[in-house]
Amino acid sequence: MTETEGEQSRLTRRQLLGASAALAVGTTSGCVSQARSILNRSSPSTLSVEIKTPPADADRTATLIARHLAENLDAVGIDATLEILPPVELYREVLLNGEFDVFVSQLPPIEDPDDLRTTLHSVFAEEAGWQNPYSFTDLTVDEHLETQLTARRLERRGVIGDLIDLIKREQPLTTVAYPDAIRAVRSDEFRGWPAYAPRSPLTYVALTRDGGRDPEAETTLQVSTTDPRVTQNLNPLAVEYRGSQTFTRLLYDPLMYRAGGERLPWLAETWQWTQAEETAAEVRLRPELAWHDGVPLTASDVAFTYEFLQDTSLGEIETTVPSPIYRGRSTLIEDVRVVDERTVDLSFGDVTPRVAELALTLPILPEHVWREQTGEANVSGISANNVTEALVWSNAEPVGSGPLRFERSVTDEALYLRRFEDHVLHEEEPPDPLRERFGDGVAFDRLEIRVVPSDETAIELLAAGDLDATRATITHRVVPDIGQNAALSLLVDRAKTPYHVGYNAGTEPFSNPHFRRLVARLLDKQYLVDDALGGYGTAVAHPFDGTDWNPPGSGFDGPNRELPFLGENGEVDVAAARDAFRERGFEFDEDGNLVVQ
Amino acid sequence: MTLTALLVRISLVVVLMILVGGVGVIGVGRIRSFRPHALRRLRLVAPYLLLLALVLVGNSLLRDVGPELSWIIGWRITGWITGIEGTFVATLQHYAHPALTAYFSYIYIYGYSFLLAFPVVAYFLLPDDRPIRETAIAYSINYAVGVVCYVLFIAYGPRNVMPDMVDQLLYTNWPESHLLTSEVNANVNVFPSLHTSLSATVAVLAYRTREQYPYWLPIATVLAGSVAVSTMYLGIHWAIDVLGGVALAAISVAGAVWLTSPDRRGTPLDRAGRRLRAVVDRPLAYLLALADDRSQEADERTGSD
Repeated sequence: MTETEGEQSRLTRRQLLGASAALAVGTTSGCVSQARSILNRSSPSTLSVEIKTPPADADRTATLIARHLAENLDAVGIDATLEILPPVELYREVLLNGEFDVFVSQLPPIEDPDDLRTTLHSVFAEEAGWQNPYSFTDLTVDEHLETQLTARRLERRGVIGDLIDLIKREQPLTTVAYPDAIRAVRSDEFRGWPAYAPRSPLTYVALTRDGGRDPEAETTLQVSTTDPRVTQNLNPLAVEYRGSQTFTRLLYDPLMYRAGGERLPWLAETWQWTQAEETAAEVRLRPELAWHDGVPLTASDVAFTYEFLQDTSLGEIETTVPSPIYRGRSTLIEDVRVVDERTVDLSFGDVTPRVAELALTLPILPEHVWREQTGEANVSGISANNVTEALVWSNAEPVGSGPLRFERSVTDEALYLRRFEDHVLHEEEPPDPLRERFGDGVAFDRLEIRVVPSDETAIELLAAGDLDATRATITHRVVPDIGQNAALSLLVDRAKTPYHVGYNAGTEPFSNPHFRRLVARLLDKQYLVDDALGGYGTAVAHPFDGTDWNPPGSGFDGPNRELPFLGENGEVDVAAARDAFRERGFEFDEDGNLVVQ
Repeated sequence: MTLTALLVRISLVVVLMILVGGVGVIGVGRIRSFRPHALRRLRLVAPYLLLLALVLVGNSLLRDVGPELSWIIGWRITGWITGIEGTFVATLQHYAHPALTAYFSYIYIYGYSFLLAFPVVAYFLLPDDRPIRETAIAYSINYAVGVVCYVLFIAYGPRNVMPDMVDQLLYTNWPESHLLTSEVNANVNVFPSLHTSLSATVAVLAYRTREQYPYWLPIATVLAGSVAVSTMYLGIHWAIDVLGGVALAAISVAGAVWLTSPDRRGTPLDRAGRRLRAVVDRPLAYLLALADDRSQEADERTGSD
């Protein structure tokens, strides 16, 4: 065995020598150009694709969608492998380093069409974070994303309608389904869960306690989570640790909340729009605002926040280092001017107030804490280019201004927040409309967010009275267990975070829209809703499907009719699928593998 | 049920099982005749138990930083494993039955704990001290090598990769047990299966002590086999993890046998071991002598009454 191997390797070496000799002869004999034209042509190779996704423990549905896609790609002749990564690692690789072919995850909450501007505009393609992680560039899409900023009402509706058609055609990403947000709660102490969107921080503010808040006895609201990231890091700008930011937004107040068509003044008491040459707003803060550490919150904190989100180095590093989250909304603001302690002027350029007001929903950060984080990140001697301390520090003891303040955190176990007594909600007579909506403010003294290994465990703990509620979106698989227990109530609402498949348009062959369209046709969305979501969700054709931005009306477009699944009941029709690929110029070798140049 | 309550329940059940095993396998006579030798034996064995305790502490410390470290330096082998064994675990789960699920769930938690704890007690009572030394060393090697593997190899188990085909039977059947397993282990620590390696270690050691404890060999074999199957049946481990576990067991037992072999007496390694022992022995001897005096005093007092 070893001898023959030795023989072979000697033979190979001899052959190699011969080959190089031949090449040398070839060079002298003037065949250079021919040799070069052969050597410089990459030989066709079979295509392999890596699909990155979180593990089932973190997001079962995402894992299932990724597996479905991998199996169907394999069936057609595209070698697909699953790369399962914990969320922090996944987002670090995909969003910060752009290392991926395809990934499956939930999108961050989409509340306004303008949220897509950062997701898809080519100007953001080079930035790290949720801003265009797909490296997608399309001039027409760019144009629409810019026009919707200035278009009014009906006109904007038309622009968004066209944009939706473009997205459906180009498939920069493929939205699969909107999951239902399922939550189980005990109904014996706290009420009023469904008042706001499940993942809105206002859900926790709006809760009421039976018999009112008891100022004597200490009450704790205990909520489960299966995502330990909130106990590891509380930096609202650390994109790999953040999901829907429910708890960080309870810590960091915005100027105003937009909830259910209503605008709730929060840190801001009033704002006044002026629209001469360009849109501007004069924002007046509430009197005597304070941070959790007692430092007064002033207009200069507001100005600082908007400048900081645009460049977290504040000019300290040569290149700008924008925040990887909240980027879109912060770019709406062109200039900030502090008028006095309580007043700031924000100018927005050519943007309608309807869009401009989105900038007022960003969390305001304390200048006295974050100004120290503008330097280049430096971990034990390793300094990363183009990353500021602000983006990587864990913010272990956050100082915010929200209705809850940080109390304690035990890594991978629990996060404890405490009622912030100096909050405007907790004044003797909170101003309207806050008093109307939230009465005496937060109805508990303490919020415990407890990490549990699974939703099944959470239901057990809930049934035993060790918890008051589960996280906002638990798996549909525990729904029967919830139904069996009279003490538990089931809440079902639509989540704002659709499951999607993201393609790296910066790499071949995903730069080809035809290829993305074909991959999209290997996803049986309705089958996935039935199978992976157990029917608790809706297949969607685009990110605004089912909202009133949908061109046909407020209904669902459903699984993309223009790009129907190439098969039936989740099973791909291999012959038909290969024909579809061939039609677009893709070829298969004799083993049935798709080859690329 | 909280984690503490679960731990208390497991401890109670395991203690009960050990008591029953003690009567059935060890025999009341042997337990009685052991009593006068208890302290001397403890003194002899304590350094080995101390070694095991140190390894366990190191293991749990490393496991905390392990996953983080793994993602930087480790090999990602989930794809490699699925490429080789495909859907073997899913096929195994085709035979799932509520009775089997209950059996394997209890085996995975209670059976395993008992399997590991019982030999420590049983071998402690043997006049021959080699089995207990072998056991302590073999366990230590298992945990030490295991934790290094966990840093070097990152892989998710079947339930995390193919949740449509592999059900996490343990946690759907017995959700609280997840509190315990998630406390003990990160979900990327699957290769090799320490459940399998430690169980197999116990089974091989049971074979080596079959003359002293003839009943223990069949019990340990059945339990160890069940534990290995349970890790796959419950969707926690891949077949390759189990094979890796068996290999680790072989290495651990071989290492323990080699280290405790009487042939090694006088070799440099043996002398180094003795010197290390001496460091622990002196304070230990003092402590035990103190305890011995007390018990003698007590004996005298009861005698004078």
